[in-house]
Amino acid sequence: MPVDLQQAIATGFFLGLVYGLIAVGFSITFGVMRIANFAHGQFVMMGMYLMIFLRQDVAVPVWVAIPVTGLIVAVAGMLIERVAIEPIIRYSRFMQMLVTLGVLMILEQLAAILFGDQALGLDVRVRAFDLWIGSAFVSGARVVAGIAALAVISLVFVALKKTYFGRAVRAVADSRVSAELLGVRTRRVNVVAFGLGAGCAGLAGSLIIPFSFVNPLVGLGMTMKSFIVVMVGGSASIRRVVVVAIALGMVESVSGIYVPLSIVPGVVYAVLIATLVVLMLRQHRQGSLLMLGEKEGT
Amino acid sequence: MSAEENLQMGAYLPRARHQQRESFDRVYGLFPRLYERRSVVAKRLSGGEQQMLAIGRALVALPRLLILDEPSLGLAPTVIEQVAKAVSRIAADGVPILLCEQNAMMALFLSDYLYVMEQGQISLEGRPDELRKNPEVARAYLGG
Amino acid sequence: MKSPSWVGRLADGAMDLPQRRIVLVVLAVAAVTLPWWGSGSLVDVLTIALLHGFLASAWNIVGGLAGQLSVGHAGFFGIGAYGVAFLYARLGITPYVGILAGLSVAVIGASVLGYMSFWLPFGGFTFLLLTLGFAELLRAVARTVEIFGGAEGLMFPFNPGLTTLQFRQGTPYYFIVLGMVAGILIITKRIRNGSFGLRLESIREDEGAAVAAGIPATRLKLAAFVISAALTSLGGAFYAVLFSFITPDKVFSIDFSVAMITGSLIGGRGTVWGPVVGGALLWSLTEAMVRLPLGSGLGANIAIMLNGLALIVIVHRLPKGIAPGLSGEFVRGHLEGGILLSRLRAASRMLKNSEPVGPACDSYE
Repeated sequence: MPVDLQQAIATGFFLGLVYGLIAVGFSITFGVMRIANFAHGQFVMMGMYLMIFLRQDVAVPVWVAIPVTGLIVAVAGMLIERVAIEPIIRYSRFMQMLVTLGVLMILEQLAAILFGDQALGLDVRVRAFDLWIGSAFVSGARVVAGIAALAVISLVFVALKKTYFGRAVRAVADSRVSAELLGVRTRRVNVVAFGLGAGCAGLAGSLIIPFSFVNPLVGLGMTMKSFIVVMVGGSASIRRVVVVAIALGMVESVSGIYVPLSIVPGVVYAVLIATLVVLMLRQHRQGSLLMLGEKEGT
Repeated sequence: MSAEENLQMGAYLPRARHQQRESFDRVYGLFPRLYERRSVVAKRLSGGEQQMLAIGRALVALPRLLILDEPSLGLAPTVIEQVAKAVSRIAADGVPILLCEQNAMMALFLSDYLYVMEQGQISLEGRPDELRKNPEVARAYLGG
Repeated sequence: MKSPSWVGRLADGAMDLPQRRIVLVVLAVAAVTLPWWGSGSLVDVLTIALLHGFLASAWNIVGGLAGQLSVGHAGFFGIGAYGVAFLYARLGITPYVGILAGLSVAVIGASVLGYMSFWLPFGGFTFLLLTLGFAELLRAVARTVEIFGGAEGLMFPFNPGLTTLQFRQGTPYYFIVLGMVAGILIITKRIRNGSFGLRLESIREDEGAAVAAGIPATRLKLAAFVISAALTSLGGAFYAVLFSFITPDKVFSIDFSVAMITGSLIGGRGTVWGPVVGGALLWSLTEAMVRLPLGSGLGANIAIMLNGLALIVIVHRLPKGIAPGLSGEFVRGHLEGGILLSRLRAASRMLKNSEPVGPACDSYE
């Protein structure tokens, strides 16, 4: 196998793990509130900008900045949910998604106003984690990002499975009415789920910035990727989401070798369509392959 | 969510959560089958097991009043028997139960006091031994 | 919520028939004669405003009448624009052909997307995802492929004349867009009042029930989507002819898609006149923002932010938009609430008055 292909696959693997984190965040919102949060990618963007700010302007050590970023974005997400979505929680999901579109616009332009249009980056070297897999080289930053993403995903998984509140979240995702009858405060679950989703996204943003530029427009692409992952992998099983995300990361990296960089999203989109077609053909076996909205946490 | 997780959700509220251990033991005692299948995803349980789970979940919430709506619906006769026995044990434990049932025999067997409803109106009421002798019951139940 | 002013009464639909007709006739006459009593810049501004109203109305057909949230309508807009621009700038082919080319591609694209979304059993979110990616995909392609001009876009020479659909003055453009708006109003009204619209409404209200009643939901949704896409591409073609210059970041941007949606919502999703009014209004507001002397494009950012804010506010406060009353005349009492609401109203009236009430013709005729 040619070296650059190996390289792409290795890089894509670690990238995919981070995508997995973003997608898990998306799937939580999706499963609990049954809406696609169009502004999800903006939280990733927020995390990226925040990380740059914390590192460059406030000189926070990396290992502190990452969780802090996640936390701040999570809080921002909860605030946004409270202000923008909760008042219309009784309205149709169509309307709620329109609101997330509005949030998307606002956050995107806010970033443009605050940080300008040009691409910004952050240089973080973690030499200690530089990895050689065969003849493929993966930089330390990427490796750490992947591992950290996996760690957070596992944390979320455990929290959802073992804690009482996590079970409440899954119960709401399963059947809101039943959960409410059991005494779960679904409004609170909404807020936390949204915040959790945003936090995952923000954290992922802070992890990804060392090797990916940020500008006000990256949000949309991130949203799309999470959306694709959740569509293909379903929002029921975190494990499946991670696997699909890794596949997506690899597809993206590998296609970067053969097509100009700006067409890569197009390739991803095309792969999505192909996957949908394939899934459709296999659909007869499993009924709905995409069990949207059910949280088993497996 | 698995059967056991459903039970855990039943005990979500703090008051019930403290007594979780005893409640669970009680439910598993009533429905041993549920204990065997406690890790199975609730959707995959049989109809009878799901019914037992539903009742169990209501029980662990430490209800002051347990309301059962047609618990026998869609169940095989042997399963109905199990459910009925469980309900009578729950009542014997001192939980007030409001049972809504169209299976007259089950209702007569389990209840301390009965209301017979026709077309949304209460047409008869009384204790089971009185009602058993009442020809109106047969008419109301079979005549329609 | 009845306000005393006549504008308020108009919006509430409290004006009865003859008054409304008069207002509309006056508006129509004013619109048609505008070039003779208005300034040149007013004509130009109105042209673009009406174009945006047209676009919002085009989205309304699939987003309002059929109730399907398409987030990528800019894709069809861009197709129409690039159809004209590409063929003329690169191959010297007249815009008339370009319009048809763009139309065809838009129809094909919408058919494919619609088929994948509505026929394949992946749930309603497929449509969202596919439309979302559609415009972005096209944007990426247009930016990269040199033949389409890359990121700088396409510009074509200005040769005024009827064959090139380019004119020295704004007036011909104005009349073209006026015709487009009139056309889409007629189309929307026809759809809405006809059986097509009625069936779309039932799909919108409860698709499961509609399908159970025998309505071919997938086919109808597809039809609405294709019609919407085709009209949007016409708007794009007009845009290209008007400006002689297009960039992928403008015509394919999600900002554009959201603007169409917001415009439609502000005016009244699902109504006949609402989206045109809303779209024009929204553009006027945002354009005013852009012109603010805030330095280096800040106005543009604020304008788009305002768009997003407007969307949120409208959904929160005025989900039916401001113009449901205006369109009351054109609809058999079927406003945003649909048949169900008017029947409920009739039923409650009946209960209150103990008088029989006829079929739910809610007084507007």
